[in-house]
Amino acid sequence: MRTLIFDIWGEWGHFRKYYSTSSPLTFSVLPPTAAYGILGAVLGLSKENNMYLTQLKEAHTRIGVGLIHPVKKIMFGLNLINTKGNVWVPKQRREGARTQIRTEFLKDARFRLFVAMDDEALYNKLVSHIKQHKTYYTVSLGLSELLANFQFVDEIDGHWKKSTGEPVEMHTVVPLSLIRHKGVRLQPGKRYKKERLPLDMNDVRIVSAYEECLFDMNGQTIEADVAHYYEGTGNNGTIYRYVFLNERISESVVQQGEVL
Amino acid sequence: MITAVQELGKWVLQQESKETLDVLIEPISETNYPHVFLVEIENDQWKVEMEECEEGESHKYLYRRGASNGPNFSPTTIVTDLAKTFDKKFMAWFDKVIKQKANFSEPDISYIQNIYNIIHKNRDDIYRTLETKLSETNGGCVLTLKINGHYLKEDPVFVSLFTRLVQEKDSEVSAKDQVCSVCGHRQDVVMAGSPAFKFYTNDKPGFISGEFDKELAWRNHPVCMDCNLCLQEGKRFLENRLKFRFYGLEYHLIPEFIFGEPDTRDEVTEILRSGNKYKTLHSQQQIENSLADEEDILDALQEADDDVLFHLLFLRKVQSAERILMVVEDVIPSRLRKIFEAKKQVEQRFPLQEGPSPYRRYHLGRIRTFFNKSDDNKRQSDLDKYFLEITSAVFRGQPLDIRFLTRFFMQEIRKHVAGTSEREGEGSDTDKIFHVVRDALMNVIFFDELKILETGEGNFVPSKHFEGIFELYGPHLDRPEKKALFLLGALTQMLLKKQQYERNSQPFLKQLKGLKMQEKDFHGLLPKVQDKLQQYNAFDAKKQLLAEEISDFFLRAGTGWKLSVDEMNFCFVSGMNLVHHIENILYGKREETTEGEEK
Repeated sequence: MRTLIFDIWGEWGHFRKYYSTSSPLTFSVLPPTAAYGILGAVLGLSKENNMYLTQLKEAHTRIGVGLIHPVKKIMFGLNLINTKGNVWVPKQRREGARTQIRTEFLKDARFRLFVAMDDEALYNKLVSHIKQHKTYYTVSLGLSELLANFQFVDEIDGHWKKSTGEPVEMHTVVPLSLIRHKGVRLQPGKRYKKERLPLDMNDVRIVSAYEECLFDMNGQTIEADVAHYYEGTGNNGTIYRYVFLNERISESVVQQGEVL
Repeated sequence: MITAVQELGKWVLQQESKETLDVLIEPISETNYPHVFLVEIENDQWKVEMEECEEGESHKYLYRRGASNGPNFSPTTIVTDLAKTFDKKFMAWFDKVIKQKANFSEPDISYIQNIYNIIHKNRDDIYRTLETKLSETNGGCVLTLKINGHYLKEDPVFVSLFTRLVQEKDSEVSAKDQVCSVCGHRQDVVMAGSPAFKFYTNDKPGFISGEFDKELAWRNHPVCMDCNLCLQEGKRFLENRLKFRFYGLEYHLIPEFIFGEPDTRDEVTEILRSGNKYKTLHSQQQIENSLADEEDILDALQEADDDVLFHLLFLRKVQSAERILMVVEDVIPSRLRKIFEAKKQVEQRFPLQEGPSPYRRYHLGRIRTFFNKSDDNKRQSDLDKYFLEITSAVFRGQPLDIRFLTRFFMQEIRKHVAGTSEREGEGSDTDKIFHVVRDALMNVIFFDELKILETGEGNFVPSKHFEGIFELYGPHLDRPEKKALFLLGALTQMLLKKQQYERNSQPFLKQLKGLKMQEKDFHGLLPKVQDKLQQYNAFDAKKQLLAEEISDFFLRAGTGWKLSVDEMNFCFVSGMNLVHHIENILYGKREETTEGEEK
């Protein structure tokens, strides 16, 4: 399976955790649900009626996410417009026109996206755009103000692999349900973190899968015995191992991996 | 984090074999509400009785708070103003249920209607009786019902209505057959968030992503009924056992288990369960027991495996909502070990001659000293933000810039210097300066031990006589100009001591320009100090040696130092503070120091 690998980074990022509204916190990792929007922006797919989602899902877009930079989080105040009561009439509001909300941001975030699609035309268009550093709409890390840059890294031919019973080096975050019991080789100097990420959403933006995912907060790879993954060799000989977070896992595959 | 709370709640529910109803009922604090008034209805007769509230038994009253301006989920209510409470909470519950009679079964409604009729008929008498009894009691009160000798929890109709009303409220905005964001499973019904945490709200359209439609708010944070119960129980456990005070702030300590090994889980949760609520890092009341108290909960937790992580959730209540001030995520036990080790290293450099402990204790309160209020006249602390940032940097191992720190250190030190200059001759004020400077020094050394102190570009030039002191106390003195300032501070302090001894005042303090000296001021200060010492006949060979080394460092440093005014002055006061170490080297341990001990 042809897989495009590219990096996306920015000075600031914010992917709001779904359970925090009045004090927004951010995920440490770019969730696949946000990656849909980024791909849609690069490809110029319409947001009207969530067409970008429909098209990307029809193309069976699969997304893997890796961390390149260590996770740094900073909180600072954002001045928001007070919209309570559905109206914004600054001078008539007793509590003031604006409200300051302390918001958590990612600082100097850099992620590596692994993307595969069944729709060859759309995939080729994506590869071409990424290689030429071309987008239809501006890409950002979570909020429109947090502009992002991106760069082509590699394009590889990924092969589906089953666990050999030994931990392997993984370049993406891995859902815990794919990791076999006691299958993580803990290495000194790494800060392991699990976070429940929204992995997939349907074309009316209802999240259809949430999962605990494991990664290293220092932005390095982790070694884990993963039930199944993809492996491919890059142009410079680097072997990439990755999982697509939003890939539908069939029942037979799930049975191979034991839930931790 | 939210999953960690859910898991904690699940664990508590299993351990205590609690039922759903027990989770829904809120306990009543016997300290705040020591009296319970019961309107007892028995065979069309009524009477008002009073009993003492026992928190452990309070679930029998079937209490759960409702909206602030509406009835609760049962007639049980806390009495604020009887006139309002009686009608708007107590009677209003019956009105609400009877109004919605179509939602409940016919026998239940006629049972409730019957009770309502009795109360309604005797409303004024009941009210007057309550009023009289209330006027005879002191302290908070609760108003509830007792039907035919049964408390509300023992009455199946009230229990059924209570459960129904709570569920109805929870599922105001809900959807069927959707995935729960907490457990990740597809569930029959999911609701829009859980009432456990008030930092999830959807009262403003901007909070509802995707068309701002409140009806669709469940899509943002779908929570199934089971997870909702676990979250509520988890939150209750956090409130009761894992909420700690921290220098005017509050935080919840949330454990999370990465791989969920049962042994670690049980061990850690048991520590948390048995831990004393107010013994932690440094509660304000127990400042001396801080950070390293043998019974300190973090102290106990540092021995755990790195399979467990801790999140420190700093919350502030704003009306009925909660605001997250800061989340310090992923603190691992090995990081705690490092912090405690650094603390030990700091303490060993500040021995005490008297007192139960051989060393001066170090705790994060010494950081709070500088990051509390920018102005003493302010009512509330306005530097919480910086204090939390620093706390977070300590726990996460993020760098701290010395220039940022010295700005606040000097602000506090200057306040005391100004006070002393105004009241010359008061020794205790000079001691206060020493305490503040020592706190600042302890902080600098603590950050250096944790390897999070950034001091800029260093230029190591060894000192001929005092390198030992620089190694122990001067992680920030990594350039010749900084060492020169430090030693000049020490020499100046010797002069001030001499003045204090000779004239019982320290007029030379005025030469220090309120510790806002610049590079040229320091260059000019050395000859002034030398001259003054000569006037007192105190510029002996040892002090000359010190002056020589200062000159040597000044010459090596050249001009145009890349230091902020605060940084320069902090190096200077560090030397003033540690003068006794310099004296010990120059004169041996004969000369007495004037450093006061902290009371």
